[in-house]
Amino acid sequence: MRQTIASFWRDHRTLLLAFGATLAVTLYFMVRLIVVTLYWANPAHHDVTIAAWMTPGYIARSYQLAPHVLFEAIGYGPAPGDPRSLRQIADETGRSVDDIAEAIRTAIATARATPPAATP
Amino acid sequence: MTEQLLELIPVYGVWLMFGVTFFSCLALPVPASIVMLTAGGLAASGDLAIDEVALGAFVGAVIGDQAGYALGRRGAERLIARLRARPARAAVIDRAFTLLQRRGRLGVFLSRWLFSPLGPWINFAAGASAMPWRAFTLAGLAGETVWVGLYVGLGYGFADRVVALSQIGGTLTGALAAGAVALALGLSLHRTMLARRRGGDLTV
Repeated sequence: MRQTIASFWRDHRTLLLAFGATLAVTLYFMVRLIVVTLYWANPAHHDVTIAAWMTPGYIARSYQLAPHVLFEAIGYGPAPGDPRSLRQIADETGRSVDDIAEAIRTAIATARATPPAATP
Repeated sequence: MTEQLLELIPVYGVWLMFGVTFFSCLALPVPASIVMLTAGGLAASGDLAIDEVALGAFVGAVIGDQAGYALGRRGAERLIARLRARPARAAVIDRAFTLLQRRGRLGVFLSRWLFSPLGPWINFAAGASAMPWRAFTLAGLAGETVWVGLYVGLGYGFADRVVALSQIGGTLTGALAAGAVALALGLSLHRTMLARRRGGDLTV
Protein backbone atom coordinates (compact mmCIF):
# COMPACT_ATOMS: atom_id res chain seq x y z
CA MET A 1 0.00 0.00 0.00
CA ARG A 2 2.74 2.41 1.00
CA GLN A 3 4.58 1.50 -2.15
CA THR A 4 1.45 2.21 -4.18
CA ILE A 5 1.11 5.65 -2.66
CA ALA A 6 4.81 6.33 -3.19
CA SER A 7 4.71 5.34 -6.82
CA PHE A 8 1.49 7.26 -7.40
CA TRP A 9 3.11 10.34 -5.85
CA ARG A 10 6.16 9.88 -8.04
CA ASP A 11 4.13 9.58 -11.25
CA HIS A 12 1.44 12.16 -10.60
CA ARG A 13 3.04 14.70 -8.30
CA THR A 14 1.83 17.76 -10.22
CA LEU A 15 -1.77 16.56 -10.29
CA LEU A 16 -1.76 15.73 -6.57
CA LEU A 17 -0.17 19.05 -5.61
CA ALA A 18 -2.59 21.01 -7.79
CA PHE A 19 -5.53 19.14 -6.27
CA GLY A 20 -4.29 19.79 -2.72
CA ALA A 21 -3.68 23.46 -3.43
CA THR A 22 -7.12 24.11 -4.97
CA LEU A 23 -8.75 22.18 -2.14
CA ALA A 24 -6.96 24.40 0.38
CA VAL A 25 -8.02 27.55 -1.50
CA THR A 26 -11.64 26.31 -1.58
CA LEU A 27 -11.61 25.65 2.17
CA TYR A 28 -10.12 29.09 2.81
CA PHE A 29 -12.92 30.76 0.82
CA MET A 30 -15.59 28.67 2.56
CA VAL A 31 -14.34 29.65 6.02
CA ARG A 32 -14.09 33.28 4.89
CA LEU A 33 -17.62 33.12 3.52
CA ILE A 34 -18.94 32.06 6.93
CA VAL A 35 -16.96 34.78 8.73
CA VAL A 36 -18.06 37.52 6.29
CA THR A 37 -21.71 36.44 6.33
CA LEU A 38 -21.82 36.33 10.13
CA TYR A 39 -20.22 39.78 10.29
CA TRP A 40 -22.82 41.36 8.00
CA ALA A 41 -25.70 39.47 9.61
CA ASN A 42 -24.99 41.38 12.83
CA PRO A 43 -27.40 44.35 13.03
CA ALA A 44 -24.63 46.45 14.60
CA HIS A 45 -22.85 46.39 11.23
CA HIS A 46 -25.86 47.36 9.12
CA ASP A 47 -25.21 51.11 8.96
CA VAL A 48 -22.92 51.95 6.06
CA THR A 49 -19.52 53.32 7.04
CA ILE A 50 -19.03 56.65 5.28
CA ALA A 51 -16.36 56.28 2.58
CA ALA A 52 -14.72 58.67 0.12
CA TRP A 53 -16.38 57.09 -2.93
CA MET A 54 -19.90 57.79 -1.67
CA THR A 55 -21.98 60.71 -2.86
CA PRO A 56 -24.07 62.70 -0.37
CA GLY A 57 -27.15 61.42 -2.22
CA TYR A 58 -26.08 57.82 -1.72
CA ILE A 59 -25.39 58.35 1.99
CA ALA A 60 -28.73 60.12 2.42
CA ARG A 61 -30.53 57.21 0.78
CA SER A 62 -28.71 54.63 2.89
CA TYR A 63 -29.67 56.45 6.08
CA GLN A 64 -33.16 57.26 4.82
CA LEU A 65 -32.68 61.02 5.01
CA ALA A 66 -33.53 63.78 2.55
CA PRO A 67 -30.37 64.59 0.55
CA HIS A 68 -30.65 68.34 1.27
CA VAL A 69 -30.01 67.63 4.97
CA LEU A 70 -26.53 66.36 4.14
CA PHE A 71 -25.78 68.97 1.48
CA GLU A 72 -26.62 71.67 4.01
CA ALA A 73 -24.47 69.99 6.65
CA ILE A 74 -21.39 70.07 4.44
CA GLY A 75 -22.22 73.44 2.91
CA TYR A 76 -22.10 72.23 -0.67
CA GLY A 77 -24.88 72.63 -3.19
CA PRO A 78 -26.26 69.56 -4.91
CA ALA A 79 -25.46 69.35 -8.60
CA PRO A 80 -28.28 67.46 -10.29
CA GLY A 81 -27.04 65.14 -13.03
CA ASP A 82 -23.46 65.82 -12.00
CA PRO A 83 -22.78 63.62 -8.99
CA ARG A 84 -19.83 64.31 -6.75
CA SER A 85 -18.12 61.83 -4.45
CA LEU A 86 -16.92 62.98 -1.03
CA ARG A 87 -13.38 62.85 -2.43
CA GLN A 88 -14.29 65.28 -5.23
CA ILE A 89 -16.11 67.59 -2.85
CA ALA A 90 -13.08 67.52 -0.55
CA ASP A 91 -10.73 68.35 -3.43
CA GLU A 92 -12.94 71.17 -4.71
CA THR A 93 -13.49 72.79 -1.33
CA GLY A 94 -10.00 72.28 0.02
CA ARG A 95 -11.19 70.25 3.01
CA SER A 96 -10.25 66.73 4.03
CA VAL A 97 -12.54 63.74 3.41
CA ASP A 98 -12.45 63.01 7.15
CA ASP A 99 -13.64 66.53 7.88
CA ILE A 100 -16.62 66.19 5.51
CA ALA A 101 -17.41 62.67 6.75
CA GLU A 102 -17.45 63.97 10.33
CA ALA A 103 -19.90 66.75 9.37
CA ILE A 104 -22.12 64.14 7.71
CA ARG A 105 -21.98 61.81 10.72
CA THR A 106 -22.99 64.68 13.00
CA ALA A 107 -25.89 65.60 10.69
CA ILE A 108 -27.07 61.98 10.64
CA ALA A 109 -26.92 61.74 14.43
CA THR A 110 -28.86 65.00 14.77
CA ALA A 111 -31.49 63.92 12.23
CA ARG A 112 -31.94 60.57 13.97
CA ALA A 113 -32.26 62.20 17.38
CA THR A 114 -34.94 64.59 16.13
CA PRO A 115 -38.33 62.92 15.61
CA PRO A 116 -39.71 63.62 12.12
CA ALA A 117 -42.13 66.54 12.02
CA ALA A 118 -45.73 65.41 12.00
CA THR A 119 -47.30 65.81 8.62
CA PRO A 120 -50.96 66.72 8.47
CA MET B 1 -6.75 50.11 -4.89
CA THR B 2 -10.44 49.16 -4.91
CA GLU B 3 -11.37 52.25 -2.89
CA GLN B 4 -9.59 54.56 -5.35
CA LEU B 5 -11.34 52.88 -8.25
CA LEU B 6 -14.74 53.28 -6.56
CA GLU B 7 -14.05 57.00 -6.09
CA LEU B 8 -13.76 57.32 -9.87
CA ILE B 9 -17.25 55.92 -10.55
CA PRO B 10 -19.11 59.25 -10.14
CA VAL B 11 -16.39 60.98 -12.21
CA TYR B 12 -16.15 58.68 -15.24
CA GLY B 13 -19.45 56.76 -14.99
CA VAL B 14 -20.13 54.77 -18.13
CA TRP B 15 -16.55 54.82 -19.39
CA LEU B 16 -15.24 53.46 -16.14
CA MET B 17 -17.77 50.62 -16.27
CA PHE B 18 -16.68 49.83 -19.80
CA GLY B 19 -12.98 49.82 -18.93
CA VAL B 20 -13.37 47.79 -15.75
CA THR B 21 -15.36 44.94 -17.28
CA PHE B 22 -13.20 44.97 -20.42
CA PHE B 23 -9.95 44.51 -18.51
CA SER B 24 -11.44 42.01 -16.07
CA CYS B 25 -12.23 39.74 -19.05
CA LEU B 26 -8.50 39.76 -19.87
CA ALA B 27 -7.48 38.49 -16.42
CA LEU B 28 -6.35 41.88 -15.14
CA PRO B 29 -6.99 42.15 -11.39
CA VAL B 30 -9.80 44.74 -11.49
CA PRO B 31 -12.71 44.28 -9.08
CA ALA B 32 -15.42 44.47 -11.76
CA SER B 33 -18.14 42.88 -9.64
CA ILE B 34 -17.60 45.35 -6.80
CA VAL B 35 -17.60 48.30 -9.21
CA MET B 36 -20.88 47.10 -10.76
CA LEU B 37 -22.54 46.65 -7.35
CA THR B 38 -21.38 50.11 -6.27
CA ALA B 39 -22.49 51.78 -9.51
CA GLY B 40 -25.87 50.07 -9.10
CA GLY B 41 -26.04 51.53 -5.59
CA LEU B 42 -25.18 55.02 -6.84
CA ALA B 43 -27.83 54.65 -9.55
CA ALA B 44 -30.41 53.90 -6.85
CA SER B 45 -29.84 57.32 -5.29
CA GLY B 46 -30.21 58.97 -8.70
CA ASP B 47 -26.54 59.87 -9.08
CA LEU B 48 -26.04 57.65 -12.13
CA ALA B 49 -28.38 56.36 -14.83
CA ILE B 50 -28.86 52.63 -14.35
CA ASP B 51 -29.32 51.86 -18.06
CA GLU B 52 -26.08 53.64 -18.96
CA VAL B 53 -24.19 51.86 -16.16
CA ALA B 54 -25.48 48.46 -17.28
CA LEU B 55 -24.87 49.13 -20.97
CA GLY B 56 -21.30 50.35 -20.37
CA ALA B 57 -20.49 47.28 -18.28
CA PHE B 58 -22.13 44.91 -20.77
CA VAL B 59 -20.39 46.30 -23.86
CA GLY B 60 -17.03 46.30 -22.04
CA ALA B 61 -17.48 42.68 -21.00
CA VAL B 62 -18.53 41.49 -24.46
CA ILE B 63 -15.62 43.23 -26.21
CA GLY B 64 -13.27 41.99 -23.48
CA ASP B 65 -14.39 38.41 -24.08
CA GLN B 66 -13.76 38.79 -27.80
CA ALA B 67 -10.31 40.22 -27.14
CA GLY B 68 -9.50 37.29 -24.82
CA TYR B 69 -10.70 34.79 -27.43
CA ALA B 70 -8.62 36.48 -30.16
CA LEU B 71 -5.54 36.54 -27.92
CA GLY B 72 -5.98 32.85 -27.14
CA ARG B 73 -6.41 32.04 -30.78
CA ARG B 74 -3.35 33.95 -31.98
CA GLY B 75 -0.99 33.59 -29.07
CA ALA B 76 -1.60 30.03 -28.07
CA GLU B 77 -0.69 28.20 -31.25
CA ARG B 78 3.04 28.27 -30.76
CA LEU B 79 2.81 27.71 -26.99
CA ILE B 80 0.53 24.72 -27.40
CA ALA B 81 2.72 23.24 -30.13
CA ARG B 82 5.64 23.40 -27.71
CA LEU B 83 3.65 21.92 -24.83
CA ARG B 84 2.44 19.08 -27.05
CA ALA B 85 5.99 18.01 -27.71
CA ARG B 86 5.68 15.54 -24.84
CA PRO B 87 3.14 12.79 -25.61
CA ALA B 88 1.82 12.59 -22.03
CA ARG B 89 1.14 16.32 -22.02
CA ALA B 90 -0.37 16.22 -25.49
CA ALA B 91 -2.91 13.68 -24.23
CA VAL B 92 -3.95 15.94 -21.36
CA ILE B 93 -4.23 18.97 -23.64
CA ASP B 94 -6.29 17.00 -26.13
CA ARG B 95 -8.62 15.82 -23.39
CA ALA B 96 -9.10 19.38 -22.09
CA PHE B 97 -9.81 20.66 -25.60
CA THR B 98 -12.28 17.85 -26.32
CA LEU B 99 -14.10 18.76 -23.11
CA LEU B 100 -14.17 22.42 -24.17
CA GLN B 101 -15.56 21.49 -27.57
CA ARG B 102 -18.26 19.31 -26.04
CA ARG B 103 -19.25 21.27 -22.94
CA GLY B 104 -17.71 24.60 -23.93
CA ARG B 105 -20.95 26.50 -24.27
CA LEU B 106 -22.07 25.74 -20.72
CA GLY B 107 -18.55 26.46 -19.45
CA VAL B 108 -18.46 29.85 -21.16
CA PHE B 109 -21.94 30.74 -19.89
CA LEU B 110 -21.31 29.76 -16.26
CA SER B 111 -17.81 31.23 -16.10
CA ARG B 112 -19.25 34.67 -16.94
CA TRP B 113 -21.08 34.98 -13.63
CA LEU B 114 -21.21 31.89 -11.38
CA PHE B 115 -17.51 30.95 -11.56
CA SER B 116 -16.45 34.42 -12.67
CA PRO B 117 -12.77 34.20 -11.56
CA LEU B 118 -12.34 31.49 -14.22
CA GLY B 119 -13.87 33.64 -16.98
CA PRO B 120 -10.73 35.17 -18.53
CA TRP B 121 -8.94 31.82 -18.60
CA ILE B 122 -11.90 30.20 -20.33
CA ASN B 123 -11.72 33.02 -22.93
CA PHE B 124 -8.06 32.26 -23.68
CA ALA B 125 -8.70 28.50 -23.69
CA ALA B 126 -11.72 28.86 -25.98
CA GLY B 127 -9.63 30.79 -28.48
CA ALA B 128 -6.66 28.47 -28.16
CA SER B 129 -8.78 25.35 -28.68
CA ALA B 130 -10.50 26.99 -31.67
CA MET B 131 -13.94 26.68 -30.10
CA PRO B 132 -16.46 27.78 -32.77
CA TRP B 133 -16.68 31.57 -32.60
CA ARG B 134 -20.48 31.66 -32.90
CA ALA B 135 -21.02 29.27 -29.99
CA PHE B 136 -18.48 31.19 -27.86
CA THR B 137 -20.09 34.54 -28.63
CA LEU B 138 -23.69 33.43 -28.05
CA ALA B 139 -22.87 31.73 -24.74
CA GLY B 140 -20.79 34.77 -23.77
CA LEU B 141 -23.59 37.24 -24.54
CA ALA B 142 -26.03 35.20 -22.44
CA GLY B 143 -23.57 34.90 -19.58
CA GLU B 144 -22.59 38.58 -19.55
CA THR B 145 -26.27 39.56 -19.52
CA VAL B 146 -26.70 37.53 -16.33
CA TRP B 147 -23.43 38.87 -14.82
CA VAL B 148 -24.16 42.54 -15.45
CA GLY B 149 -27.88 42.23 -14.70
CA LEU B 150 -27.21 40.38 -11.45
CA TYR B 151 -24.57 42.70 -10.02
CA VAL B 152 -25.93 46.05 -11.21
CA GLY B 153 -29.44 44.89 -10.25
CA LEU B 154 -28.39 43.74 -6.76
CA GLY B 155 -26.51 47.00 -6.22
CA TYR B 156 -29.58 48.96 -7.27
CA GLY B 157 -32.00 46.90 -5.21
CA PHE B 158 -29.86 46.71 -2.08
CA ALA B 159 -28.04 50.02 -2.38
CA ASP B 160 -27.27 50.39 1.32
CA ARG B 161 -25.81 46.87 1.41
CA VAL B 162 -23.29 47.13 -1.45
CA VAL B 163 -20.24 46.74 0.79
CA ALA B 164 -21.67 43.58 2.37
CA LEU B 165 -22.77 42.24 -1.01
CA SER B 166 -19.32 42.90 -2.49
CA GLN B 167 -17.59 40.91 0.22
CA ILE B 168 -20.10 38.06 0.25
CA GLY B 169 -20.31 37.89 -3.56
CA GLY B 170 -16.54 37.98 -4.02
CA THR B 171 -15.96 35.26 -1.44
CA LEU B 172 -18.78 33.09 -2.78
CA THR B 173 -17.59 33.22 -6.41
CA GLY B 174 -14.04 32.58 -5.18
CA ALA B 175 -15.20 29.48 -3.31
CA LEU B 176 -17.23 28.27 -6.29
CA ALA B 177 -14.41 28.81 -8.79
CA ALA B 178 -11.77 27.12 -6.59
CA GLY B 179 -14.26 24.35 -5.79
CA ALA B 180 -14.97 23.75 -9.49
CA VAL B 181 -11.25 23.46 -10.26
CA ALA B 182 -10.70 21.18 -7.23
CA LEU B 183 -13.58 19.00 -8.37
CA ALA B 184 -12.22 18.73 -11.92
CA LEU B 185 -8.74 17.84 -10.59
CA GLY B 186 -10.27 15.36 -8.13
CA LEU B 187 -12.15 13.62 -10.94
CA SER B 188 -8.99 13.53 -12.99
CA LEU B 189 -7.13 11.95 -10.05
CA HIS B 190 -9.89 9.43 -9.58
CA ARG B 191 -9.76 8.43 -13.25
CA THR B 192 -5.99 8.10 -13.10
CA MET B 193 -6.24 5.87 -10.02
CA LEU B 194 -8.86 3.64 -11.68
CA ALA B 195 -6.72 3.33 -14.79
CA ARG B 196 -3.72 2.28 -12.72
CA ARG B 197 -5.74 -0.26 -10.79
CA ARG B 198 -7.08 -1.71 -14.00
CA GLY B 199 -3.56 -1.74 -15.35
CA GLY B 200 -2.65 -3.91 -12.39
CA ASP B 201 0.01 -1.67 -10.92
CA LEU B 202 -1.72 -1.64 -7.51
CA THR B 203 0.51 -4.49 -6.45
CA VAL B 204 3.71 -2.92 -7.73
